[in-house]
Amino acid sequence: MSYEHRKILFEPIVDNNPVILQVLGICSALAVTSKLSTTVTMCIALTVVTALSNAAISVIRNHIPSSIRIIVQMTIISSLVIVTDQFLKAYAFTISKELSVFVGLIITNCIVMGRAEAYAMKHPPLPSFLDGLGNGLGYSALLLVIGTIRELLGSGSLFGYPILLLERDGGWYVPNGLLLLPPSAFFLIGLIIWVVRSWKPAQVEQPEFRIYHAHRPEVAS
Amino acid sequence: MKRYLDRLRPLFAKGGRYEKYYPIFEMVDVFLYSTPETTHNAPHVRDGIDLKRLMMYVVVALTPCILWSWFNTGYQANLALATMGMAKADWRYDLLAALQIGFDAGSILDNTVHGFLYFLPIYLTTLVVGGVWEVVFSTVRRKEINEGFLVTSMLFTLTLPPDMPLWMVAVGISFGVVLGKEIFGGTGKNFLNPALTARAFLFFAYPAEMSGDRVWVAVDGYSGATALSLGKVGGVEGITSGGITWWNAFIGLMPGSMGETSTLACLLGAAFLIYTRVGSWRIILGVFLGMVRASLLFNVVGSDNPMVAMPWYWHLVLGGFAFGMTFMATDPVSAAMTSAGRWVFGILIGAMTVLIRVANPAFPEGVMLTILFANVFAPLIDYAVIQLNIRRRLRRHVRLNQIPLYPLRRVSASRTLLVTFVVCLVCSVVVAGAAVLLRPIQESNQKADLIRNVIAVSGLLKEGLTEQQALQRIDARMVELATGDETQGIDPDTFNIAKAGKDPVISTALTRQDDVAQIRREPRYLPVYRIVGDNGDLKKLILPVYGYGLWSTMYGFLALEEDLRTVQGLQFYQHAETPGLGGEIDNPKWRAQWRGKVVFDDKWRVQVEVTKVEIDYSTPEAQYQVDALAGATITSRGVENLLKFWLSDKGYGPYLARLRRERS
Repeated sequence: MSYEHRKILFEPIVDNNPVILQVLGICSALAVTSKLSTTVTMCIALTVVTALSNAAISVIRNHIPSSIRIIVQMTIISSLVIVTDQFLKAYAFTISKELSVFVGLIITNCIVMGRAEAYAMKHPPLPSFLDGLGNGLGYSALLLVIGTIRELLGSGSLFGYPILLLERDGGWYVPNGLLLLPPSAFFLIGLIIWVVRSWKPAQVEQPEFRIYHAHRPEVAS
Repeated sequence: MKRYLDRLRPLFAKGGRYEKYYPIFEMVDVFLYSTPETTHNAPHVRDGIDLKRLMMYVVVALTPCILWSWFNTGYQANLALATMGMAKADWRYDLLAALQIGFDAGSILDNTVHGFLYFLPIYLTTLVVGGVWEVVFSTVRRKEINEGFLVTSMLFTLTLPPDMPLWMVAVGISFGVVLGKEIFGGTGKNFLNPALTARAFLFFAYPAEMSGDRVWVAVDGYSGATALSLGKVGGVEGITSGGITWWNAFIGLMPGSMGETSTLACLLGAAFLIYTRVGSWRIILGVFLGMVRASLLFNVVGSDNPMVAMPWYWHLVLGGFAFGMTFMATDPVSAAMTSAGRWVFGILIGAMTVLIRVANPAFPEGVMLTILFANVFAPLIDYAVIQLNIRRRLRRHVRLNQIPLYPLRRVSASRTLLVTFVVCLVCSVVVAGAAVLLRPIQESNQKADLIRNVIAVSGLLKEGLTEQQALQRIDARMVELATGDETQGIDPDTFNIAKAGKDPVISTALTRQDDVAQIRREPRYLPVYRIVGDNGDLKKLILPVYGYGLWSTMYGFLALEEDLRTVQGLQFYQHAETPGLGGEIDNPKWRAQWRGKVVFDDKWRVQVEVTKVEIDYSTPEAQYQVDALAGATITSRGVENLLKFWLSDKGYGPYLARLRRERS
């Protein structure tokens, strides 16, 4: 794999993460991360769809009339999502039941559409495929972190196996119910963005305005 | 002291040895003496007030609430102890005994000291933990420490139930201070009230400690509902028959969060805040008027919900309304800033509080949530007020610039159609292929999933059978509910209960009296699962049951023993009740209670009760009773109702009667 390709694949994981930097795909990041098993399934599903849709769209990119390009992209993406959904129903039934509509909603995930429109329409199939894969992995990396925190602190388990002994079963840990509710993922994503931007200040956005301190220069410095 | 501090100053000043710790020095210095700094340029404000004085005024305004919280917490605890008898021993009791202070609910001193011992640990915890965060952030940011957190921790303490575990208090205040305030830049830059953010965090994170009936009185095991939850069930009569008169509620002699019970104390504080102009009278009046309007509106509308008829003067004295109105809504940082905006802000809070109290089944109290909600809206309200003002002044017609359309590459229509056609064809082949190829696997999954729930509730696995062997024992039949006859022609394995209940072809609508389980329509046919012994005789009977809880329809199975009277198990496989409260219907401990309970009496009348009262096992009724889930009254009642419905003649009654006839 050439340097270029490696860069396309790995850049979205930390340096250009679709969720952390571009703040896309938040809806599913809130909805599916209360348990690790659903999180992992969702990550795999999204990564597969993004990679394949990018590749497919890139193959026919020169034949898509620009007036209907969004519809064509949507058709391809939704077909892939339906196929993925069918596979999950066949081979991972219980998890697909828990994910319910969220597999179907991959169609509307901004990451998939965004990569198709922004990258696959302009680049050859192989880089497009890698770009889709990389963005899927970037999304997965963040979701796995959130899923781990939420399941561990919210239910005291990982993949359903008890890790922290719950108080109601005679242990010491009182589970935090907030982490089972979707808004908690908002707080976690915010905190992770805080951590990542402290680590890589290049990701910090330029301030839109600046307040100049007219008074008390010894405080303003 | 002053001289000592002044001597130290150079050490902390710029270039000094402890430059980094200047904020801490500054805090101590300014807290004790007035600030040495003046603004360097015009304009100068000619007033003695600064942020610290402002915060001190709030603390002064809180004094009646604080004192009352000590008295009432102790009073409620002593009352409870008097009815329960002295049982517990912890440090508070030892200390009180050492101080020669009794537990007489009639003595003001006894009550106040007892209550103070509950107040103090919580307050110290919030102060220390909140203070540490404040110092950490101020030091890192090289800013002065603001005393805002003194007010925050006091407000937060007063909104908590008295026997909150201290570690939860610490987690809560950390969340409130860090996520509610510091990450937005510290004091003055937060858009949410940090004390309420902390409380909301605890409310959702540890609902069992922050809601329900057991937490409001500081005695373990004593269950005393707040006036609002009494009102939720029985309206004003419910509250007064619970022993709380309007005057009690106004003065604050009732169980509740520590500082929130007394409307009188809050109004005293409000008067002080308005007099000193620290709190905005527009907000306070707006909240009050919004509440009055909304409750009058509900009074006029009327309905069978008892809260609808509650008059405004009761809304005023119940729950945290007065406290929220006086101290939380007027927080100068997170409230609206413009005069008109403050009216809107206040009315929004008042009206929505009543709306939540009346219409929302889950939260008896709405003040906390509405104030946070209005906090979020405050910048928008201000923006709208300012923009309206600007527009009024402009009165000038501005023509919108025409935005040019994005130029498109021209492509011939036939080519567009061709691409569309090819893409659609390929996609539909892929989709159809996957659907057809995978269908058999999916169907068997679905069947297995349903049966797995049946097997789980049957208890066969506990008897040492494998899933395969258990499957052999299950005999699924379709039953026509009205007649109790078994019918052929419908495959019970693929019958979808949830769908059938909505399909007008195979279900009938229920009248309101009949619809105990709140399911609206009842399917005409339902599958039942007979667990048979080696020679085909009926060992157990498993019935699908469902009904509405708090948020969702709960689908489950009820397994009856051979006598068709004793419960083998009750298990829900699909619901969306609140995790930690209603969601505990999945808790194995609670489910285990059902085992061995009896659902019919000698004359085969349905007998089942999910009760909030402690079960007396010496009475014969105990065999019909199951403990309600803590803090989930409505879910518990939902379970009781759905069982009553499905076991009645409207449900499986005729079928069960037929089975009994066949047996005898």
